[in-house]
Amino acid sequence: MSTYVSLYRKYRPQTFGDVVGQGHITRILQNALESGRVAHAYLFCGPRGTGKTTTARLLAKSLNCANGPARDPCNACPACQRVTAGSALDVIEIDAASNRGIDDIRELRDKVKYAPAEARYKVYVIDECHMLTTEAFNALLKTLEEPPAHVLFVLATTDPQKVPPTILSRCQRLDFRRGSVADLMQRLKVVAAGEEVEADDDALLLVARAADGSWRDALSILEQIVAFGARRLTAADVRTILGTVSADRVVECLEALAAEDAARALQVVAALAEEGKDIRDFLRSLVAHLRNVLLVGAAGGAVMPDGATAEEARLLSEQAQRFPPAFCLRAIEALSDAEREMRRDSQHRLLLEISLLRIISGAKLAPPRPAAAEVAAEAPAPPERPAPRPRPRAAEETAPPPAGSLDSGGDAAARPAPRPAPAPPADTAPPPAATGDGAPPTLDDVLTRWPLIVERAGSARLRGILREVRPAKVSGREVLLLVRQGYTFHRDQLEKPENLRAVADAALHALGTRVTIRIAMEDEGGGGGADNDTPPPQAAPLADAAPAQGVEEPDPYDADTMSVKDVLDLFHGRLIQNKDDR
Amino acid sequence: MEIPFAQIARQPALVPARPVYLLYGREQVLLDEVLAKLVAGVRQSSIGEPEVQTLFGPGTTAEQVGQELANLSLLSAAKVVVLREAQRMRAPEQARLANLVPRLGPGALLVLIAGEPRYDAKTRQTKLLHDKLEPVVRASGVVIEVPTFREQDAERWLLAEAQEAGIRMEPRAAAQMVLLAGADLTRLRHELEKVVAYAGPGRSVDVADVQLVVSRSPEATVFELTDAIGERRPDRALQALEVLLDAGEPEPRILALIARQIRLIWQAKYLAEKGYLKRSGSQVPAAVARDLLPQEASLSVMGQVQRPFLREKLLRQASAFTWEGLRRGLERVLAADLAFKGIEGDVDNPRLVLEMLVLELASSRRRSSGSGRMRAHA
Repeated sequence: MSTYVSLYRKYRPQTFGDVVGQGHITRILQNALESGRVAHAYLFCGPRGTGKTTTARLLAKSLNCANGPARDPCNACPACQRVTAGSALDVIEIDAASNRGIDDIRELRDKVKYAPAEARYKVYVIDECHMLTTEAFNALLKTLEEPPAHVLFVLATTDPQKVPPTILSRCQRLDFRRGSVADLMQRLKVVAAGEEVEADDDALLLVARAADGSWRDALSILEQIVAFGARRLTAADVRTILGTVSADRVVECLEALAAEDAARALQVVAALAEEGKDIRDFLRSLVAHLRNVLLVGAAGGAVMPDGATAEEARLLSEQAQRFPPAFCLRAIEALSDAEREMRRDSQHRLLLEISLLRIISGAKLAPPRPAAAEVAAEAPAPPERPAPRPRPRAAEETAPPPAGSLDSGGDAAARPAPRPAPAPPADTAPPPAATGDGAPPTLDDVLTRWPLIVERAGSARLRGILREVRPAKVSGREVLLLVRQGYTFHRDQLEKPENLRAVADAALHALGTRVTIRIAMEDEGGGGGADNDTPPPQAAPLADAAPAQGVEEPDPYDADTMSVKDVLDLFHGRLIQNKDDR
Repeated sequence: MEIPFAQIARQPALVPARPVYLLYGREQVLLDEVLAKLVAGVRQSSIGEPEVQTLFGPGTTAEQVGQELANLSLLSAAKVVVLREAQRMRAPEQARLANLVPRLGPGALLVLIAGEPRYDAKTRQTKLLHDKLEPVVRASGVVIEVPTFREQDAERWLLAEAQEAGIRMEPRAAAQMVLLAGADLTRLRHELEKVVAYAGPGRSVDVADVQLVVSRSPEATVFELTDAIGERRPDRALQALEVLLDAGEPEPRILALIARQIRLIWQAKYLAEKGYLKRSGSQVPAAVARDLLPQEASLSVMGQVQRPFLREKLLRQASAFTWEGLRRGLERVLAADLAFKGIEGDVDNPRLVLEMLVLELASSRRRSSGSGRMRAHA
């Protein structure tokens, strides 16, 4: 009975020439072999699946080859064949993750001094060496410092930060790199041909991307797909087997967001659910795509993500032109929030839907947020000493932002331009005035937007506090928030100027208009009581939310601006007669 | 008895005059050079090859040291026992070794190798070894301090070593190598071995070879990162960030290194605007350095501007940033830092947080109105 061998083992490189993507390392090792200047200890560092163990075996083989030491092993002599078969007595592989104690290293140290049993050199490959204990590392020091002439150490690790400096200083360090998508695809083609599997380029591209630079993962994924029974691979097969989401869905969703088409965005989510796709995977794909749009935009289209096809490059360039960085950042922010929530809440579909709606509502309502830089720039003067002081903004401030800049000149810049075709849906609402001093909100407005205000209110701590608070009343531009009875700590925290400012900022985002925030306890009468006659002490005149110059802030208690309904709300009364009606 | 390093630097061999030597200093390479000279000296003064036995301070007892000194191999004419990291030997064992040292006779040489002296807060003195051992060694042996290697000497050292190894190295390649690997001599020696192996005998090494082969220190990659930010190259900046993350560098540390670099650029910009710092050199008045710059060497630009290559780079970065850009950069770093520490906001995906930070810094010429809280939520 023949034993099945996994693809990554079957197609493991047998010469240095077969190792792809690590040319800088194979050249160093081959030249060292040729000139007889092989170091006594190497440290191979790099992400998993990048060829560290394979290269260590090749080095062992080349050193011990009957026709060597040579630049490449002959793979024909008994010594080479034993290494290939994993039966060489003098090539000792140690998994430091499971043999990490001082006793294991002492045992190694005791055996090191004996001459090789059958080969020229004893080669110790210590995999995941960062897992060794401190005592084990100390025990290894002396051997690494002055190993017998017949011994070579190769330490491999995915985490060199955890290797002590005393070990690092005794090894020659070689850094392995992730495989590029193009290199991985090339290798996958060779393996697919060797396995007599017909594979579309698109299918292999998806596999290469899923491998994330790991050669081993790429072959394992291919193996998984081949094991599914397919002798001809298409992109659709790969997506089905891996459960990944079609790029079309991601693009469709993003276009819906850009067009502020809530219905279309929700349809995409519904379709995903129907297809049984993992919502979190989709969310991550969406974030990754937005990141790529940002990258392409920031680099002015000069740079494309690794492995992007011509069609993807065209799409990304086109989207980078239309989607302002501020929109992408906001969408990433909202989606990241949703992903975090998904860890605690199993309602993934609902969370994604809410997140998409928030992105759309944010795009509709969000006025430009006053940047901290803008506020701070009010204090000019060049720095007299190297301390963080702003300087008056000179010519650079008047220059237009570069293409793809993260700067956003206002709401227009923060909203994506609609795609030329197809036409945006009819229900796309025009954006509100970007000045932030639109019509005062009603209580209904505030209640409707309250979850969004809470969500945008900054730190988790503040959001937690706001969960014990409800909007009770809106008078002109003042919003009265009632804190639950007995929650004095929450009230005290909320009354802090920075928290009032954060809530007002969040309200500005959510409502599209400036408001001031007043805090009261539920047991203080709810409506604000007698202090409604005078300007409320807690009303926060916020720097960020201050009225624009020349625009008069209406007095919320002015008889001209107070509605009858406001008075009724304030005194819990009922209307008997309206004097104006007489 | 203490011998200055300069006195023995040019000697090929050092014939031991006492039975015990204490070598100390930061540079392992120079310590090894002195040890090699001592072994050569023993070889000169005896018939045949001496036996060299190396022990390590942690886990070694005074009794083991005594046994090694007493056991002379039949095939060797003399014995050298080297105790590396002697300062890390357990205190009681060092005290016992202090009793042994005065009784050492001819025929064996004990070489103690220690690191840098450390400050003892109790006695308010710097010391190398145990209170009992150090005076005994100083009284009955020879002490040699190897000097700390200066950064400005690194390039010259590399060029000389490369020549000795049979390759031609361009001066800019040497400068690049120091920039990437740092000025640590041990590390430079390893990196040079790699470069020599990569180039092959008789070949020349240029900047591109160095960039391909040399393992970057985190500080060097952060420098590349900020360089890319300064040049508004988000693609290169993201590549550098990826190198750091792939090397397992913790995200908060990367953030701290970015902050440090922005502060260095801030200082360089200030000094350049005041006319204290030019491409041709640095003339920072002592009062300015004392009163305005951080006293901690790693945070002060003074350590960097002594080397022309670094000075030029820093000045180029400083001219690429506006004061507003630097201030904003620090603000962004602060926001991310607070989020990383859970003080303000949460971080579920630190990689994304750093990517967005780098993209913001590298892309923006003017103020960035991207949500300042974005990092706190990513």
